[in-house]
Amino acid sequence: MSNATHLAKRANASAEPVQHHDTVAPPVDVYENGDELLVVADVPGASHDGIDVQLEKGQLTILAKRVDATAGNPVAAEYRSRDYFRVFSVPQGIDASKIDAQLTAGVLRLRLPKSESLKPRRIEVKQG
Amino acid sequence: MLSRFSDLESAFALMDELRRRMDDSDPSWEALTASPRSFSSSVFPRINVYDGGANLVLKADVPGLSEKDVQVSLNEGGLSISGERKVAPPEGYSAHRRERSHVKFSRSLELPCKVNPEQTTAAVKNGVLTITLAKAAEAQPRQITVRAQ
Repeated sequence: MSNATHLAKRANASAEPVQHHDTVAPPVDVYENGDELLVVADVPGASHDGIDVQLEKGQLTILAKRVDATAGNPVAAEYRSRDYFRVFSVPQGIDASKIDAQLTAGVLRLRLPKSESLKPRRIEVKQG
Repeated sequence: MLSRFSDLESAFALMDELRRRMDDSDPSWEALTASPRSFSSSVFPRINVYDGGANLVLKADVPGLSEKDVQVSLNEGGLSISGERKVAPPEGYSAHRRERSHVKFSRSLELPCKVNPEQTTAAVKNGVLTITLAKAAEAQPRQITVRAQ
């Protein structure tokens, strides 16, 4: 199994939330229109093959591994190169097989298409 | 019984708060500037500087930016990075959550040693800006040969 489910399981198993020092939550924008949910996350330093996106039991898990190496001895540091990890609850009716993920310049865009049952519907009012 | 349970809960909340503060003031890493570690940070981009022996390497997280969005300039003893990160909500969508900030940035920092401006390169890959500055001849580490007498 992948690392993502393993992390999630470990977090759920203990009564006290376990802190993971090895990951950081990326900033995320979430948008919605009639057809889909759009999740945009900043994951600088991650490459496309280091990204693991899963939808299981209504939970969307995003794990992105940083692949950029350090370049010598750190002289000054404002950030640490940590992997990205974040979990969202998504509404039922998202088709997991149709999720599309795209990574451009360290920004991950996930498109979660809604199934027909979740799409907004216009109710015709008939004359009685 | 219920009240005891909520006591316990507030104790956990306190622990979480403490843990977060400890995280914020991570002592093992020295920040160039004191700043809160939040999503919409006032410091953008965050910069790490490495000493690679013959060169200095500067790395900064600039997600969403390409080479043409970042300006790097080198002047007497200092380096400046400036640019703008545009975050436009896509058309026809409503926003549930917006943590990624639109930011116009300009940062300058002093370099710890003299560098050779002609041999400075800058590149952006996977949203990370890497600037490699070759140290000036007088700042390069020098190997001293130990001779037997």
